[in-house]
Amino acid sequence: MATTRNSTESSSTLGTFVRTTFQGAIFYRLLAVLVFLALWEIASLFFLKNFLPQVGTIAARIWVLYSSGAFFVQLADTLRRVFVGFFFAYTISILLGIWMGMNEKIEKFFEILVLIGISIPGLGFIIVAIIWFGISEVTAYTSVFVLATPLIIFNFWKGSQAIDTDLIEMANAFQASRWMILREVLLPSLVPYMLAAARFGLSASWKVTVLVELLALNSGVGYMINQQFQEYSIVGVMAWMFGFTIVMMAIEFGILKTIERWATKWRSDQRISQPELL
Amino acid sequence: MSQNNTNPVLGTRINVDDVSKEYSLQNNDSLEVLADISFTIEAQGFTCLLGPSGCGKSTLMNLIAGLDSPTSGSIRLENEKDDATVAFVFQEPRLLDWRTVRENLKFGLRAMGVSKDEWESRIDTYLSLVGLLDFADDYPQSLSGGMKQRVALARAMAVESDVILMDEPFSSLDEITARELRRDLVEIWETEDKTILFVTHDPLEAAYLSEQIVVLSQRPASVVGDYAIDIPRPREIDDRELAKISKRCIDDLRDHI
Repeated sequence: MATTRNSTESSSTLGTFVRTTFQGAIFYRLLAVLVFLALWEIASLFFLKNFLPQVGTIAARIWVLYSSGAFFVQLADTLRRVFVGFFFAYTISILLGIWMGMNEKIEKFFEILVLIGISIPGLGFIIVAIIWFGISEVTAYTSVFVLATPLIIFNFWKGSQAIDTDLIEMANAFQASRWMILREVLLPSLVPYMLAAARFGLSASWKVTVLVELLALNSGVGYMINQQFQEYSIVGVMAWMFGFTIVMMAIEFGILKTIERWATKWRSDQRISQPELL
Repeated sequence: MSQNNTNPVLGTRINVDDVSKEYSLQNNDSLEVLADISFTIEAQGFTCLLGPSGCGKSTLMNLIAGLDSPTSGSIRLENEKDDATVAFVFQEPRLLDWRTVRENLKFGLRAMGVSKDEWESRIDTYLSLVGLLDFADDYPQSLSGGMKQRVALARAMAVESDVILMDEPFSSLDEITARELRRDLVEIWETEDKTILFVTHDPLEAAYLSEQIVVLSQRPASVVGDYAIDIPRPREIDDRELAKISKRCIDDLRDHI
């Protein structure tokens, strides 16, 4: 057998290649943000301060919000609403998605409901929820659940249709039990789609949450944005808006990307082929 | 191979007797895939099933593996144990990308119910047999196509089944790699007491590898040639004797199109 360890050398060159491109990715991401901020700064010179404030003004206000701790009191409420709603939406979606994948009748039954669910105008349902539940946490949870669930199912189920049936055939040929096929073949193949659906669902969840807070609740980031709006403070509105965006990006890069890297460590290219939808 | 002491692999004869297979289609029609197929593979034989693409070779493999049953006729895997195990190598490696090479072999061992104490020694034995022991802890995506197919071969060997069924395993590899793997496969077969059934559409590959070639016609497949190949080993793929056998098989196929 002529195969020797030689090709590890090429795989470590591949490793270097991946590392440098990854660093390259960080470079271009930073560059993109800086270019955007620079264009904003230039544009702000041509407008009134009350219309488009300078980058520095907003940054200073975000800093005040962060350092006084006021921001995080509101953030805690918002994140709780996001994650509670998301947790139920995501759990139901993954279970239902797998069930739809396994059973054609179930798939046909839920397909139209999912498509209808995606088409519901978010704002419309939020108002219905406010009428039903009033100024209450339940309004936020229900809105997130109802609006995010069809999106997560759709995303997960479309992705999971691409699953490799060859591997299941292989497992059957080796007489693997159903449990083994589920645990060793199906679930690991679903992981990338579960992650993509999580990212997609999370972004839908926080958008809905902020909207509910803005319309009906008396705490949270959305509520504070509304309050700043009542005071006609564009600096305040933007500071809360971008302050929250920074936190969501930290969750994306700090938590989701880490889980993703860990769950797909077997990929030789470490490049993530999923749509990034945040 | 010394591991045979613990679990002696007995020679297994495969007897395919008058086998037909029909699939019923939606519009009350039926599709006849195999028509009255009979042949015998001797214990520890290396037989190639040669036929055009889509002729039903893979169907026949599934019947022999017991994954499906014939419409009529019988298939018997005969040995002293009264129970023959079968392992598969497919056209694609079909490895679990999220598992290392070692864990991929474990998957086969666990699925086939091999006792846990034997896993590590078998994995080491068969990975070195295919020359990939150094890559045991690598993930499949970092391996070349030929190396992945070697892992698939090791996975099939490691369960120490009586029969190995191979469904065009080298057809998607480049010719140089395919030649290397064919040579290695013959070497491995010579040291192991296994019966190998190898499906291919390449008559020269069949002539190089096997002791027996069974030629199948187009669908519905029937046996149109059954040859014993007694050319001494080691064989050379560009040997003129092999070319003659290959030509005879092609003539058989042409007569039945």
